Amino acid sequence: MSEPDTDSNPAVDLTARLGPLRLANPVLAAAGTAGAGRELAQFFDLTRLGALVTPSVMAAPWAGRPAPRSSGTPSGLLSANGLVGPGVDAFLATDLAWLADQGVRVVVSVAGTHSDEFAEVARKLAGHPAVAAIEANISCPNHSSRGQVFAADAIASARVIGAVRRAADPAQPVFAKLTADVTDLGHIARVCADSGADGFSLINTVAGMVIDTDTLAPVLADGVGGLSGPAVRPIAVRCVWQVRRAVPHLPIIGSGGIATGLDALQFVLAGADAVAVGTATFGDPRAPLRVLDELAAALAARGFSSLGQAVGFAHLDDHQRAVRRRPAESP
Amino acid sequence: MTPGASGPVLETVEVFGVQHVGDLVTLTLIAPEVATHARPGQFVAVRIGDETSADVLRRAVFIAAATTGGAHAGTVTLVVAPRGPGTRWLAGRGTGDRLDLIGPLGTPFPLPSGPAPAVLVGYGYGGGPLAWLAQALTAQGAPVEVVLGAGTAAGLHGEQPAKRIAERVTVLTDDGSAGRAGSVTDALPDAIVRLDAQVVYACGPAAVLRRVGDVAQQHAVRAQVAVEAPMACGTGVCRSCLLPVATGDDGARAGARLVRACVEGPVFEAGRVRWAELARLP
Repeated sequence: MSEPDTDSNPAVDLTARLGPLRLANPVLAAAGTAGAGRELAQFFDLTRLGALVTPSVMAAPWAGRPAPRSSGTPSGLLSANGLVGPGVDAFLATDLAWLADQGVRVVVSVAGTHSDEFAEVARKLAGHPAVAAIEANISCPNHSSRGQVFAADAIASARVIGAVRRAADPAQPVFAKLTADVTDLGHIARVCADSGADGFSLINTVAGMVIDTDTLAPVLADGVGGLSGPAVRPIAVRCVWQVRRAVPHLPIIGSGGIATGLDALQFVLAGADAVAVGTATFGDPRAPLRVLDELAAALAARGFSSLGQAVGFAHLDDHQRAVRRRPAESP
Repeated sequence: MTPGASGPVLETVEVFGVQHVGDLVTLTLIAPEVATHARPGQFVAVRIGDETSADVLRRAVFIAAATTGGAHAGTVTLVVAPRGPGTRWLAGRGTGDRLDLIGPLGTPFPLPSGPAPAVLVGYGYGGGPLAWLAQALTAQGAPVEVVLGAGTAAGLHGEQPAKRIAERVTVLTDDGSAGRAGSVTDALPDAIVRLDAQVVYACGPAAVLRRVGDVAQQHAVRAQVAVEAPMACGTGVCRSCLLPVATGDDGARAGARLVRACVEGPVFEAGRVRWAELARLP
């Protein structure tokens, strides 16, 4: 089986501009779906990704939640792995070192039970050249708040994002990972921006549950899990649309059920400057590259000369569209 | 790690043969790429349905046998126990249908370095990989006995190929509908003693594997068991299949860590698995 050829559309400039961060192309492997790269490297060259987002790294090793941890759902996956990981020190020594050695652009997902923990991890990433950016996973449970996620509360979000931005290397942009499970996403996004977020990554999984009709009890040991996959895609596109409107000036990494290039194009048109492919990788280990190839073809077929031309295009009125597509004047 | 080295591959394969025997369905697939490096104990992750399918997850199925060379360049055999919508779809495949595989995945049964006598225990679909393993062991000159079990006669698999290879095959069913009435572990102590076995291999539900491990330990024999853990990806990236195993060689030590059943397993030494901490024994 031949690998997808991302050079088949040389006419489309696929550079993804995420504020100060520039990626060769806009397709990332989403946090928690690509491991630390070694497994997917068996199937494709990781350096062809725009970047790889790591599983969430916490200060100390974390065992996660008890089994069963996942269940297939119609067009989706319900999971509750619980941020299982080796802790930041082991991550730096083994996973990040390997990724750096391979020449992969890395976005490190950072998590914690308190904002101090987020900051501790961010601090330890400072100066590592392989780290292109930090994704602050504030969509994880805030243990001070009876398990409600940080990102559901503006004050908690502000505290964590502020702490991460202050502790992190100034050269490493901080993206706030937002959840759809809120009443006013625009407000949360604005608060994160005011607290120092350099951009947004959304959405995380959507709270859901499956009840086993044989055992008459929830399927997951934890009861509530996070839903991902095509079933959440319209929710995710809606969220990108809303955040783009609420905070027009900050970059967005959009994710949620992207399985094809046309799915990715929806997110770009809604305002995403880059996209992340997650659950699709479980069914197709080459999904991120396939999505990239299909997205490039889709942009070319619609007459876009660059990815940037298409970002947020769906928001534009006819006049704005005409202006956007006018060929650039030569200097 | 180089793409396409001796690790798993993606292969679209054709169904060459289908056999319905009892409750189980045996699919023979033309799969030369997957077959090349496949070993007993490994599995494949099979896509369910076509492009309209709402099932985004693959199903992990043990490789019951693999051949290389020959008229079709290589075949892979799967034994499917239809339980849920995905396995029922698989069981309904016909000759000429195409399947999308990732494999071989996981760590295989480790073979002893010499002709060490071995007892092989298979329950249900687990009889498949064991007959294949028996071939590999006898090829090394090892005396082999096979114990096969199931709930009922309709759940048995592997008796015929096992009888061609092993010194003795013992069949037990929980309800006595085939062979003796009883559990596979009823026949295991005698087999171990008779053969002076140095190793026990097992494949089947976790509850059976745990008891096999206990019996083997009582006879101071190592047991290598292929655990079927619920999986979402099969390739090691989702961390859904984590199993608690003891750290170090001393299984009684307090330390434990979680390992991925699809990468560090599915074959584990029975004494290392923290069976009591598995949420559910199927």
